This record gives sequence, C-alpha cells and structure tokens, in this order.
Amino acid sequence: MKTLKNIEKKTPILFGLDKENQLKVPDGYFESIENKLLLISDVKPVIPLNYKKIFISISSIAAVLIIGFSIYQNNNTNQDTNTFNTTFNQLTIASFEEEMLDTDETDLPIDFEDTKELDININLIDEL
Amino acid sequence: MQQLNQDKYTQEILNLIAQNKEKTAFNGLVKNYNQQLYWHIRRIVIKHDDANDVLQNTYIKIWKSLKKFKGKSKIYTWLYRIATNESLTFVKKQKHTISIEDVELKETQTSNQSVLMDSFEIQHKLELAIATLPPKQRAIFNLKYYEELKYDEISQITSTSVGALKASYHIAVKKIETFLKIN
Repeated sequence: MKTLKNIEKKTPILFGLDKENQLKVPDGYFESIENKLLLISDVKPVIPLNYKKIFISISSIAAVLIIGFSIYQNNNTNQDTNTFNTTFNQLTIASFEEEMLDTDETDLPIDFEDTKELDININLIDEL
Repeated sequence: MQQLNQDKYTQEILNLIAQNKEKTAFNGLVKNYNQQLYWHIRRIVIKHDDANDVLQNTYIKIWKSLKKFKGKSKIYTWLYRIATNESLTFVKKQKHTISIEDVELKETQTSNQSVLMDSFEIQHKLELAIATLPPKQRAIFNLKYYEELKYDEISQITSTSVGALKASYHIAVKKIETFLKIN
C-alpha cells in the first residue's frame, strides 16, 4: 500500500483522472452481444477427435494383423516344406527301391562268400 | 459495473454446476461479466472488432470449461484468466503491431468549459499511452489501474509472481506518465 501511495504521489496526472472508458463502442453493442453470447450454451459442445489416439489405435491394430498374418503364413510354409520333404523322401526311397528292382544281375555286388572268383581277379591285378 | 459478493457468487456457480445446471450458471456469467471482460479484452487488443471476436472466443472457452471449474479461485479470477490468455494469444498471432492510429476514441464532446475539455483530452491521451505498452504490460496495467485488483489476484490471472507484477506496473505507470507529459 505504501508503494502504491508513492506511485500515486509521483504520477499525479494519471491518478488524478476519472477512470472512464474513452474508447469508442458501436451503439447498442452490449445489448446485442449479450444475446449472441447467451446462444453459445444452446449449442452442444462438439467433442473434438483426438487424431493422435486414433492414429495409435489404427497402427496397433494394423501391427497385430500384420504379425498375425506373418505367423499364419510362416506356419503354412513350414507345413508345405514338411509335406514337400516327406514327399521328396518318399520319392527318393521309392525310386531307389525301383532301381533296385530293375537292377540287372550283373550289377549286383559280388557275393563275397564265393571267393574263388575273387582270388583269380586279384591275381590278375597283381600281374598287371 | 455490477458489484457482486465474489465469494457468494463463486459458491452459487459451484452449486449450479454440481446440480448440472451449467446453462443457468453460464447465462449468469454472460449477464454479469460480459462488459467487464469486454473492456479488459479491448484494452489489450485495442480494436473493437478484434475485442468482439476475442470476447466470443472467451465465452466459448468458458462454456466448454465450466464443468471443470472447481472453485480453487474466485469465479472472476478464473474468467479474467481465460480472457487474458485469449487476448494475449490473439495479439501474438497478429501480423501487425498495434499503433496509436489503431485506437478508436470517442468523439470529444464540445463544451465551453475548458477544464472538462482538458480532462477528456488527457483521458484520450491515456488510452493512446496504454496502446504503446507491450501487450502483457497492458494487461497488468489494466487489471491494476482500471479493475483495481490486488497483486495476488493478478498473479493468479497472469501466472506471474507478485514481484514481477509490481515491477511491470511501476514501469507501465512511468511510461504513461512520461507520454502524458510529452503529449
């Protein structure tokens, strides 16, 4: 309060004035603006969209879908591979067995119980 | 300007909000404060058309935030805070800085009494002087000089310390006094 009184003493022009508004206002302004302002409460407040939240939600859903799809795809691929491998293995065994059945007698490995023939052949190799 | 018992009125508003009668509370705030807020805004933004826009934006914000008012401050402090923020935001967004030419003054009443003429003239010059202050200083000066609020209340409105407010007000007063002496 002392400080305020000091200011008032030092600035007599300012504090000697009537504090009346000297700014121009259109005639009838305050009546019309009051009616306009009262209408504000008649309008229901619009809840603004939170775009950040919406973006995060959509991104999360998309991420879950992509990961889920990837896992699903991966599972399917593994099954196909397994099926392929099984089929391949079966084919290989099948073809081998087929080959075996088609084998000529001359292609069969030597029966090592019959060694006489073997001995003769070895001797011939030594001589060479 | 209607003088209200602020503590009583604040409680009245809180009661209405508690009873979900926000519309009644809001209408009361329009009728009791629209002129006060207009002048406060006008002295910051200077032009009438701008003050009109800011006043409406202020009341839209008041309507949207009314349910959140918990009575931590008096109702008029809360209203002035919204109005001050809206005004300063508006001024910040303005492309051109306010000059004395933007001040729209009442026409001086022709009178033979030279004393009255002097008084009008000085008051006109005061309005011009206020327009030369920086926006926030204008707001503080208005709240202290015209609204005669206490520093504590202005501190709540402007989120500025009491010490800074006192300094700002003193500087504003000196500037205005100098302007009036020169002009």
